Order: sequence, then C-alpha cells, then structure tokens
Amino acid sequence: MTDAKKIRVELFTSNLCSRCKQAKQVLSELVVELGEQNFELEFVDVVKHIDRSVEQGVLSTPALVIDKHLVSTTLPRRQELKTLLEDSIGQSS
Amino acid sequence: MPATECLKIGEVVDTLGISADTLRYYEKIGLLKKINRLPSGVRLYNERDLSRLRFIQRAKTMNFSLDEIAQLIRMRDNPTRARKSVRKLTQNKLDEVEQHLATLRTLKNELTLLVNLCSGSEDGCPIIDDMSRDDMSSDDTDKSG
Repeated sequence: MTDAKKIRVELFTSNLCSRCKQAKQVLSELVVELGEQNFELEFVDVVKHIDRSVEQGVLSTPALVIDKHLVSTTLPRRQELKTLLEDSIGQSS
Repeated sequence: MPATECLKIGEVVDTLGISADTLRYYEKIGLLKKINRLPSGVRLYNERDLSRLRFIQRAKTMNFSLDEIAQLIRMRDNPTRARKSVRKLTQNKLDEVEQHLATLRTLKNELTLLVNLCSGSEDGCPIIDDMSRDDMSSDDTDKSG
C-alpha cells in the first residue's frame, strides 16, 4: 500500500475520559497488528481542538473517526475495532 | 375566539411578556390591526392578534426590523397577494434563519461536548478550566503510523 492510500484514523480523547487511555492502547496495538504502514493514526485532544471535534460531529469521548467518517462514539470491543480497521483496509485496497 | 375568550391588555402582557406600551405602539404603527374594544374602550386581543404577536416576538429574536416584520406580516396574512419585493424579503429572511440555525446547531454540539466531558468529573470541570489557560497554542496532537 502506498503512502497516499493510508487510512486516516483519528481517536478523539480527553484527559478526563476514563476509557480514552484504554482506547488509545487498544487502537495502537491493533494498528501495529494490522500493519502500521496501512494507517495514519492521530490522537486528538478535544479540549485543544474543540472546533475540529465539533465539525467532525464528536459529542463525547472516546470517538473514532476513520477517513473523516465518525464510526464510533463509544469504546468498541477490541474485536469490533479490529473489524472496523480491517474493513477500512478492504475498502481502500 | 369568542369575546369571552379574548384577552385584555394586562392578560396579554402576562401571557406573552410584552409590555402594554409596546402592545399599544405595535397597534399605532400598524404592526397589529386595530384591536377590537369594548364600549368602555378596553382592548380585547383575539387569537389572530396573539398569533401575530408571537410571530413578531420570534422575528425580533432574529433582529428583524419592525419595518421588515410589518412586510412579513402582510405576506403572512395573504401570501398569494404578496408583492415580488416582499416575497424576496421573505426568502432572504428564510436564508438568515437557516444560517442562524446552523450556528445554533454548532453551538449546541459544542455545549453538548463540554457537558459530556464534565459529566465524569466530581470536582468541578477541569476540562473547562484547562480551556481558559494561556498555553492553548501548544500543539498536543500525537501522530504515529
């Protein structure tokens, strides 16, 4: 997969969010497992980037955005998250 | 609305929160049609008058001028007979309302996000405290992959 076809994965988080740390960890692990070369991963602090968060439709944390689409507004189970990422790879290839 | 169900000016003041002076002024400048009166001179506002007043209140929240509101009321009373200029004004005001709604939706979402961020905190809202700090310019996004 070329760099231009990387899947953009954004996890919107906040310091007060008890599940965000776990979400970051699981997402980081899955990105490695599925091939870091496939993803462009970014963790976004909603407090520091509130306009961007609201424009993206993020109303709570953690929220997952894949290729500009808000795909999850809760902490998904590991397998669900893996499926989401795998599907993204499938759609982009 | 039968006369017995019409409201006196004081009751309209209580119901809609518009002052008596303002109600009389609206009638004087023609924003309201001539209000029916009892032989004693007491004004009686019927449902149509109240509907107009509610419309005026809504339009004023959008900062429409009284002149604009007067034109919109004429359109409201008889849409099929409205002049081209009034139809254009109405379309322009509709566009303004749409833009205002979009702004309100964004504000609502922003406030919802803040409320949700704070809901997990028992000790005030450190998130909002953070937002007032001066070090907001630092870029704290982490990138990898």
